[in-house]
Amino acid sequence: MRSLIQILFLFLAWCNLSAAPVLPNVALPSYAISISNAENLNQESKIKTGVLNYAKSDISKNSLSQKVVFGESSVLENRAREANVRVVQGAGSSLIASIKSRLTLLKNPARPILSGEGIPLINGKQTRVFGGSKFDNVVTGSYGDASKKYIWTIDDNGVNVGLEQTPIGGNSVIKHTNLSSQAYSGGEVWFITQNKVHVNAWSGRFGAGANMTKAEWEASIDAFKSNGYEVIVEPYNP
Amino acid sequence: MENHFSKYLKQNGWRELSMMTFQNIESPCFEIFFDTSNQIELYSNNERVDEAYIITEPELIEFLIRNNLSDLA
Repeated sequence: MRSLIQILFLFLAWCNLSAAPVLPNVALPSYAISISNAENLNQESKIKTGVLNYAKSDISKNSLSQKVVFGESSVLENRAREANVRVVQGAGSSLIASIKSRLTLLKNPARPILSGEGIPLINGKQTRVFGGSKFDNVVTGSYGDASKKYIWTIDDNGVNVGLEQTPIGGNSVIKHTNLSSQAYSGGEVWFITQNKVHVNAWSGRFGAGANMTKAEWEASIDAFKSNGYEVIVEPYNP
Repeated sequence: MENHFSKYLKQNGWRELSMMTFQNIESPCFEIFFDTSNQIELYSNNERVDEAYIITEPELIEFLIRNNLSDLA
């Protein structure tokens, strides 16, 4: 009788696991955790088998029962991790929604576009959606080094960057209008490392020179962060 | 927002109209517009008349001289 009660208790505990994760939702970096459902299903199957064997054995303490408990803990842990992965995706969506909610006015350039200044940059331009990956193979350099400077815009495609000293249309350098014909915001950016950027609002066409709002500026900073960058920010007080 | 070019302009006869835009005090029809921290455009009566990519202060001075906008000319 005592064995049956213990078996019933184990079943109830296992059923409870299926109902809801028991750990609180904690946002973790999405790259940190990757647990396959197949792994969990495999372990759950082993637990079911173990419980059945336990019932048949009619013994209250054996190594199999301990394995069941350990296995159960493992499943519980993995389920919690799965829950965290979902939370991360949810938090990412929330951040992206927040960025988009602050980027409301797609602006025309604040100055006229002359020869070559509106030609879309193809080679050398990189675009990332909000919450996307980092830019590939960027030239790193210290803040203020003109030869390593990228300019950036944010438009409906996401974050665009291009090395400023890129010849185009007869001009020796690109302008922000070579990245976007219309944009929410713009400025300059240095890739200090492949993971760290230093940004400012120096764009006459879409940034500080075009009355970029504080909300647009802060959303732009968050856009870089959403792509996985540590962001150093130059002060901009519109 | 300020860099050494904008500081130089403010100390040499230009006033800041708005961020990244400066107006010549003596000849208000002239405006210098910063496209980026290194790209400047000169406007006369709202028409672009010259532009330059500058890295050093002497390059800014040379730009002003060639447009007759410097006391050093």
